Amino acid sequence: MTYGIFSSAGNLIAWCDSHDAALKTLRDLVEEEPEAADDVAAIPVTETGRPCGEAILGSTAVEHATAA
Amino acid sequence: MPKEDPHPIRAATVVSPTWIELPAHVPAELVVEPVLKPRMLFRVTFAASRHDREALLHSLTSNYELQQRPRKIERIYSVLHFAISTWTSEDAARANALAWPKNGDHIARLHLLPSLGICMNRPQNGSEHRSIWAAPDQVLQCVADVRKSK
Repeated sequence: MTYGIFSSAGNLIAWCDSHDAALKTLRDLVEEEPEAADDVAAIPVTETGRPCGEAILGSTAVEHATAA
Repeated sequence: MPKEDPHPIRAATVVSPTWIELPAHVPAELVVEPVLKPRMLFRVTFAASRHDREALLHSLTSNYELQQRPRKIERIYSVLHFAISTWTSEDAARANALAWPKNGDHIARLHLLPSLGICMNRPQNGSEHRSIWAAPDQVLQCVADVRKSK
């Protein structure tokens, strides 16, 4: 599954080719900008780049890592 | 008393790497082309109508104009820091709004006209996502209508 990483303004800031890569990218972003944890998110997309599922927030990615 | 640095500019210089590898999933090139004939694109927004100028302008603004620092792909392609994300279909824009309501709850239909200097990327993989480049007030002229996302 491919993920687009977007800012809360709705603009693209990265593409990732797996769920794990998307989580890592979000964690990297939050590590650099902790205040942006709820302003970046990974959105799953289809092969044609169409969003196809719920967004994963940067803060959720960090919580996921902390719990693991 | 500490000595004053005789080369203050040199002291403030950030050392950049001499080379970097292209991160995974980042294309080796980015093709940007001008809008030469009318094009229809869609943008998620919080504006409730095409007359909601302030909200529309905000949603037609790049991360750079929002004073966000460059992140990830924006550090490889600085032009993307100046870009606005749009979609080639209303359904794709709606899916974006449903996936992350923080991006907006309405869809603006953008009827992009030639001669306004608007540019857009040409994706390599037929993606429904398009980055566009233009001053927000130029794109504002292209807003044909605004509809609820659900």
